[in-house]
Amino acid sequence: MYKELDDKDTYDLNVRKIEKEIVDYLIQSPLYSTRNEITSRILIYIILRKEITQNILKDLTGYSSGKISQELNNLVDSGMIIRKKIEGIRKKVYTFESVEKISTTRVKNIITVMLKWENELGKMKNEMENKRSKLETMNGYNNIMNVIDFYLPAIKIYEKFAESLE
Amino acid sequence: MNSNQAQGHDFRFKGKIKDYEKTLIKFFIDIGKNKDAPSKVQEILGYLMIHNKLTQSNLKELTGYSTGTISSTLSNLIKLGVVKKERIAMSNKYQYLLTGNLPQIIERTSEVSSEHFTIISKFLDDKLNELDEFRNKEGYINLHTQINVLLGGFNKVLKIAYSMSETFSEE
Repeated sequence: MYKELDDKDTYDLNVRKIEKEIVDYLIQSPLYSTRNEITSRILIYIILRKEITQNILKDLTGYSSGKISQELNNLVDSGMIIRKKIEGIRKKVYTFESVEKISTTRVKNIITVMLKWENELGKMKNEMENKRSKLETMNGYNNIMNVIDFYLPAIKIYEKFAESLE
Repeated sequence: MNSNQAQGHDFRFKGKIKDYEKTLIKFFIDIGKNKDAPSKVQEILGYLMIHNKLTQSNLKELTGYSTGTISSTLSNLIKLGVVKKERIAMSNKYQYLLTGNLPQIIERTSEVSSEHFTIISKFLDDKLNELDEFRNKEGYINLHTQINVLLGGFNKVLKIAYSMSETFSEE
């Protein structure tokens, strides 16, 4: 099976054309249109190929080796994809566990960032409350407080949701 | 009132409040890194969250992005169900606002995602039929299998999105 992964794309041109049409269609769909195009394109190809090397990704996407390498490292570090070595082939291959695992990992990573900000937002709120008499007459005081007052309890809800994903 | 300004709102914060605004925008951008969302999307969302209603002109001044970038980003966010536009009374200008609070946005984007998944599923089914013409060709089996993996995955992702929406509704 893996001898097919000899770093050159062996797909029939017509099959590859259909594959590209799928990738292009998904990228322009509203679901992906607010996301980074390069990351999304690479991720979709990984899903459609199941296992793929960096060189084949370069061939399919036209992105530079440097850019692809950077994106793959980010995706591996984030936990969304897996890098593995195959015996007999010097190159590493990139794969994934499941589409839903990609999605839940993304959600958990977002929630981790929110939890990191919880302290910072809490400090901002305390500072604004302590200096209320000075600050509350300034334009935007209520705007800022409303956002913080919304997010601080929301972060707790997100945390609970992340636990339910485990 | 400047007709380029969202009704009844001075969007230019100053001093310490401006500093807090910048910190909140950093928060939104940081979250965005894990959503694969470009910082321009997160900045625009962040400013809308803070200011409630803004015109494209306001957003251009706040973010420094070009009119084209702001316009296309807002257009994508409208298609996703996160942002809506409304006409400013007595003018031919529009202002933009989030479609609701966060739980409402999560619920709305789940519904919109469901609609888009249905359209995408139809597209992928059509592609599976097209692919059948190349049954004996290299790559057919893998692509056929993985398109079905994607279709199955989308259904599960949608359930996760609805589950998040329910979590917020319960609180």
